[in-house]
Amino acid sequence: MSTIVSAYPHDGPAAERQFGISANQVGGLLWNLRFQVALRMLQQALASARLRTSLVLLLSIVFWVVMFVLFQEGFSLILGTIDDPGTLAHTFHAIFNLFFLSLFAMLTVSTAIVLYSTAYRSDEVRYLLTTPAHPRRILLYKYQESTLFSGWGFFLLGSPILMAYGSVVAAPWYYFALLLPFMLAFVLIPSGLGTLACMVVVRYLPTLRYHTWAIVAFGGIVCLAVFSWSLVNGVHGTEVLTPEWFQASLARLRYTQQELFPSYWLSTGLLEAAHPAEVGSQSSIQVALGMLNVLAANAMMMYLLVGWCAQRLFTTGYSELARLSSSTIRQSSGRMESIVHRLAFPLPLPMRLLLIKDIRGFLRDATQWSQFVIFFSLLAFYFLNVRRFQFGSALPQWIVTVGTMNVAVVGLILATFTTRFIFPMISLEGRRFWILGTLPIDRGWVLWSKFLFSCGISLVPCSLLIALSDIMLQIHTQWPIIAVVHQIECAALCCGLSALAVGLGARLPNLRETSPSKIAAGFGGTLNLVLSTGFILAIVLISSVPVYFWVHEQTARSLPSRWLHQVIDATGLGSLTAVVVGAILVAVLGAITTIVPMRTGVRSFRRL
Amino acid sequence: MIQIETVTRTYGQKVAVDRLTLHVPPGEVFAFLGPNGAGKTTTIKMMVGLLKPSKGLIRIDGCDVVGQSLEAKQVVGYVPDEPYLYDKLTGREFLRFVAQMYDMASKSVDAAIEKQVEQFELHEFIDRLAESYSHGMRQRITFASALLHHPKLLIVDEPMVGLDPRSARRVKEIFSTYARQGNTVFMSTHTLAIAEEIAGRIGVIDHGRILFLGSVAELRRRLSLGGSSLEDLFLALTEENSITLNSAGPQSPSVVPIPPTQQNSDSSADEIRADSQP
Repeated sequence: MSTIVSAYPHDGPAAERQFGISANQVGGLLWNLRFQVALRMLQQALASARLRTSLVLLLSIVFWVVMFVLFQEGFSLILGTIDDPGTLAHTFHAIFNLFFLSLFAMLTVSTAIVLYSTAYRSDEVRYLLTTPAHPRRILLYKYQESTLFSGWGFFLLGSPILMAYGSVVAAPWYYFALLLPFMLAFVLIPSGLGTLACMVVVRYLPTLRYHTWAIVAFGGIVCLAVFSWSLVNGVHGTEVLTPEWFQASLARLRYTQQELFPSYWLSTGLLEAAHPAEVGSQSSIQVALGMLNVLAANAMMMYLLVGWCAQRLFTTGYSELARLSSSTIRQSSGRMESIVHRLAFPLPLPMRLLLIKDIRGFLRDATQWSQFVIFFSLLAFYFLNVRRFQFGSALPQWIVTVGTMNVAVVGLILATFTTRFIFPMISLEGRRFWILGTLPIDRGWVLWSKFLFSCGISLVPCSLLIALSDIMLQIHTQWPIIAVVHQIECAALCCGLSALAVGLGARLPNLRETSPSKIAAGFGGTLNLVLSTGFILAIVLISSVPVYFWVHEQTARSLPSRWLHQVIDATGLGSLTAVVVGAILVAVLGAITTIVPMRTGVRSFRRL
Repeated sequence: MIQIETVTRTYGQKVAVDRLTLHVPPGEVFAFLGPNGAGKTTTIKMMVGLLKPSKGLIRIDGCDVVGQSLEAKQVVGYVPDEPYLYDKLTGREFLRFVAQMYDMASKSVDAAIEKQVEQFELHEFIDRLAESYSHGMRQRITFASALLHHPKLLIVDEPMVGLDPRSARRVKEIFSTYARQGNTVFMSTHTLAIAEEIAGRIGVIDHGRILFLGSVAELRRRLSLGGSSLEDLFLALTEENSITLNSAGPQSPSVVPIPPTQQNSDSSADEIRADSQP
């Protein structure tokens, strides 16, 4: 007798009602459990890690305040610049629509990724699926959790912007009261879409999932690139950032204002709530509440749709995914190994073997290389377009400043990469410490191999990106020495950021956690990101100040204030010597930031 | 209690479980033996609803594990090879959560928890956070959670991993007592001594197919190795199967027939069906 499983009826709500605990009770139990766990974690954080908790809280508050002030200034500038009320309303509508549509896309993708790891790859779900909890309820619980994980960034970013807007236009009280319901209703829709996408991909394309994500990511980059290109280059015969260009760009953004987009309902509702004027026969509050109703209705429908699909797709997809666990990796041709052995020939053999192991892990972990490729592709695209912002009448110092800022941007992207992927490596290695700990090798080699791995994969793309930026800004022809300084900065950043991540990772390991993203989000990861940002700022400031004044001296433009002249004369900042000294200081700072964290890390790692 | 009817489970091209048929009646301690990768854990995962069979049917207490999964899960207690606990909950909180999940009457929960605390000697650590537990402590809490709702069927994947000798002895006693009460214990293990000691029947699986099903005494008779330990019998059986598979050439190993000595003997399919009668 042979029964084909697909002939089975799906687990239905009837099953939920007929037997044991009801679906609603399961939902309540799971949330009660989550609340209990969160409370326990908070208690522990307050009892044993006050500094860490205070730092996280402080940084969040600082971020919120900075965003609030920045956007308040920005909105005030727009209000002060545009006189025509119609154009002003149109401008704000375009800004809000574009902003929320972008967030909609990001929330969709991030929820899909988060749900994949929390619903399909988590030990908790593996356990829950063996209990009488209905799979539909488990998936809905994970959907809510993923929404929370991916939505907090939306709240952190969106709330200061919307509050700033409300304060600038002196919005009535109900605008502020409606912010939370609007944001809550909105966030459920993209996260629902992401959940559905994840379930469909896992159920029907389990073997293609990495490739699917890579194709989606690549498609996203291409669309974004085409859109940005059309935005910047589409207005022929007009200089960028002129009023004409601005008007034409607003017209080109009209497609973001489709009435069927949830971002449109959110933008329209909030903008109407902020301006208590009559709109035809309806008051603005009525329009706002109408939009909120539309959003809430769609959010609830999305919730039902997720539940309906979960009933049909979740357990089957979960079961199908297990097929992948036995897939064998094609034996590599050994080309990568021979390249590493040849390039790293002065290193001891164990270090080369460790390097090969890490490179292999990197290449097989699509989440690592895909994020690396996406971020650096976006940067490359921006750098390719940077000349389009014509600098004909701009001060040469500004061109150099843009070049310096580009170096800083590359550094910041690299810092997020090292924090997310390099910092947790030691913690994860620590869990498998019985392998490396029992080998007859110096433990310091383990750390140095990780440092070389991080430097190796970051140095070439970063260096090429910065060279591209300098070429597009024509810095390499006008001031070749600055291009050299930028390359020194790049080398210092790659070495310093890699050493910080590896060293701090060894100094503050989290051996209990198995998820690299959670390790990166912990205290050590946060500290690494903060220190990395400080290091990038220091590197950029040390080199850019003498470069800026040297270019000023070269082009004989006048400085805005007299005291600056006195400072330059007194310090010799405007000379080529100052530029060279700046570059040397950058190299020294890079070396110190490499050696000190690595030594500290090696000492800690040897004591493990 | 357990009815597995011609169940096949594939992982891509690989057949992990191949047309497996197995019936286990109530009141029996059944040991599932086999080398690494033989298909034991895959079978268990299908029984507890983590994986769906590619073909075939599994019934637990008369409930189809795919079509009536919740009913089936309600009568099962499962102890996985890698126990999962919520690190930020105490053992007692976790047990309470499990009791609620199995819809136990709130009045009986405390008494049921206390019974398990006594049974597995959890007093010392039951009120500590699970993050501080050793593997053995986790294993004992997991056993307690699996037995808390008094399931008709206890499924255990590698029961003795991480347990100290005292706890291991306790678990063996519990298994025997539990089966005597009319419940079923289905365990997958590499510890052949336990199987020999407490299992009423054993099933030996290799490459996804049952090689032998019956008592240890029957296995001795089958292989004409009277007086041999179960370890010797197990090795003889699985080596014989490996030789058969290797001689079958490059064809799919999953479709290689079981040697006639095992396929047509008194312990084959007919016996299995006969065993299904309680």
